[in-house]
Amino acid sequence: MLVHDIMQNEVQRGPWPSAPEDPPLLRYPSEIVEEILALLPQQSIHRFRSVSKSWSSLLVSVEFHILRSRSSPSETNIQKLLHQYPKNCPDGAHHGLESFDFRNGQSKNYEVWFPTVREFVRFIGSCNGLVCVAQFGPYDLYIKGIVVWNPFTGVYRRLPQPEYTSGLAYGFGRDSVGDDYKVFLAAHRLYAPVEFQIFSLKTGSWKKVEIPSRYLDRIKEGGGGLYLNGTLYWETRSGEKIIAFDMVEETFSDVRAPFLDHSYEHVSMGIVGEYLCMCRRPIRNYSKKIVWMMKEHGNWVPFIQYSESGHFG
Amino acid sequence: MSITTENNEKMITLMSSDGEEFVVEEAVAAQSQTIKHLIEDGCSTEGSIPLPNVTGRVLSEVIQYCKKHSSSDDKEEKELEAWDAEFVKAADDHVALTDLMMAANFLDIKGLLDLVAQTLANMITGKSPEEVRRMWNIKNDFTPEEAEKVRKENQWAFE
Repeated sequence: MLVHDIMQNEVQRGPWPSAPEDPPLLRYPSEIVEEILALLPQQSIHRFRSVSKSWSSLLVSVEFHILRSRSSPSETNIQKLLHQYPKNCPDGAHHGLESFDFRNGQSKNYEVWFPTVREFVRFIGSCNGLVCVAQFGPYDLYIKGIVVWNPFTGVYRRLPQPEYTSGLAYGFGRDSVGDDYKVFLAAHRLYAPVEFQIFSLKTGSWKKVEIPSRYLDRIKEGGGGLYLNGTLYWETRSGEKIIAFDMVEETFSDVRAPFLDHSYEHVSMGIVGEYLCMCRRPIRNYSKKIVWMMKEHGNWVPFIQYSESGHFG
Repeated sequence: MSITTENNEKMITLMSSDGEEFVVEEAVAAQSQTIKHLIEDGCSTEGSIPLPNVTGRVLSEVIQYCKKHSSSDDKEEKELEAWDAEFVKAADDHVALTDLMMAANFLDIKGLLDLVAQTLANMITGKSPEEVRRMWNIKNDFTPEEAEKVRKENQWAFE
């Protein structure tokens, strides 16, 4: 039969002649290989990175594509990891995500399954329906692993370990110009300045970024940056300013925070709809809160005052 | 060269890279988007359509697939699925399947492309990197250090 003939006559197979420097499979155009690899389960995708260099780079781009194309940006942005702390989940096996929809005021819980490590998990950020979380070692001393995944489809990607894992500040967001998603990690180093590392989901690797120490010195310890319209925002320790990071340019800048006098203290920072917001309360009246909204860069307006207790995230 | 059969069905001739000629109904050949466009551009009126990227052996298989899929309607979906399964089973060798997939890619026959890609993906899913290298004759171009690093980064996938 035909198939048999082809097997017998291997010399003739493959209408694309191989370039001398290419390994044999490259006789097959990469879009053919990509088409096959895109159908593989996650585990095989990772295992086959060991096949060869060209497969490794092909699989990184395949995985990036799968992750993105199967994401669902229309879903509500997931705001908070509900059970962040070990005390809520002693065995570490159960982690939930809470999503809050501002249009109808309802929150929804998602069960989160972790592919490997079942230890303390912390929310790093979310963007376009993708969620980034980190698994920490005991006492939050260091990061054991970072995962980006789409909770609605279950497709996930485990990042390679960064060089420095003692996390000081982190964030996750989108670079719309480079059509990429990036994970940010500022880490302590022994007797050395803080190292700022960026992971690109598109290239599949970490790189280091030089940043002026005046920014990092003021970032609140353990701070997860908030992503909004191409910028990551971190709170500072004093609460007087906000540190902004441009995802495309990869540059830092200061943003003025709403005025804070001695009778108010800072509570938290969050995103409401398309606006960055800051929540403050009078020092003598803990039940009362004021939320400021940033209308445009550095321009804050009081948005809401309330005196009930509740979430702000 | 276009011929018309008794049923008034327009026929066209396809020529493989090794010079084999296949006379098929236009509706069958038009399962391929590439050929469909060639026909629309008037390339089939003079002589046969040359397909320099597809050998006679592979083209004959492709035509078999196209014939089946142009004659079946939606009601026979189940039967068609079973036929597809048999079709790829007959070509159970990954080299033949890869060649078939390349032809499907060049001729732009989406159904065939998806079918073969899925078959190949199923074939390699549980395999080790070493087995995959052997299947497609891929050279392992990692240094021992690089290999160790990649393996470490993806350790969980080996467990």
